[in-house]
Amino acid sequence: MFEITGYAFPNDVHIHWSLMIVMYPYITGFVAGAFIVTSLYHLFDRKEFKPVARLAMATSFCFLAVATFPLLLHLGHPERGVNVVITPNFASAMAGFGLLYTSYLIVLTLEIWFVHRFQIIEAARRSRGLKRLMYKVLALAPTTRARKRWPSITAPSRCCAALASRPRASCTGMSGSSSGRSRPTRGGPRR
Amino acid sequence: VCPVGASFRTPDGVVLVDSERCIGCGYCVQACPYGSRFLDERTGCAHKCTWCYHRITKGLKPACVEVCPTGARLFGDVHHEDDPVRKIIEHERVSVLQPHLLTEPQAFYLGMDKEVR
Repeated sequence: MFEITGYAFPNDVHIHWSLMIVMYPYITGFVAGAFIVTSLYHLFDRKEFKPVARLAMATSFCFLAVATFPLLLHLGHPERGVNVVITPNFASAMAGFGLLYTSYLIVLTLEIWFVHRFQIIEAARRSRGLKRLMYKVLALAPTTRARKRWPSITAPSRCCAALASRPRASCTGMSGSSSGRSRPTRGGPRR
Repeated sequence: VCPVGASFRTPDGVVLVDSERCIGCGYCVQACPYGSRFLDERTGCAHKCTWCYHRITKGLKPACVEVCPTGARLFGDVHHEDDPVRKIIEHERVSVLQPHLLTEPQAFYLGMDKEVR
């Protein structure tokens, strides 16, 4: 057996991936940057980011929702693009990307829902008719505030916040947030 | 590398692309070490040589083997004891493309180590 050298195959000289593929990392830069800013306030309790935290969260979600469009437009069959997530081939890096992207979207959606749940419930109480139904569906629960459930739901983020702000007292921070926190608190971290 | 598993190997050893599943991302076109894949503008899918799968499953030879005026192309079953192509691979000086990749391709070339004069 020997090797041929100095021979170029067609895919060595012609690049199939084009401008659309460059658009994607540009858009996803907005997503990641805004997500870091919003996490610094909502997860790590950095108060100086409070004025932009919600805007950054919305920015992150909006750009994440459209970031795949350039990628889909670049496919030969955009309508089959969702198959990357539905029927993935785990040996493929691109399928891994699809799963990571979807989990990112799920995490961000959950974070938005936890942060905005109070506004959704209050909007459901104020409005009537179809609008009320829409807000009720968004709240995924009867429109009561269920204050006592909040400490358990936000326990992970509280743990993270406690770990970030007091690294040496991490054990006490975790036990304090998971057990006897009887004081009813609003959703999200301490204000 | 196919993200949806549209590229597959049939039980008889032929690598094919399922054009019902292919999303046309071109990932396999970029990755193919032999440059043998391409995106078809009409179907929006990746395609490759199928060894004329519709013909070989009926016992015919691939069309290019059938029509080659000088008999430069041969097609046979290496799992068959007394197949002429198997004997050539065993006894003659054959080589494959990109041998260092260890991909065990099924296309063998006779006298590829000789220079073109």
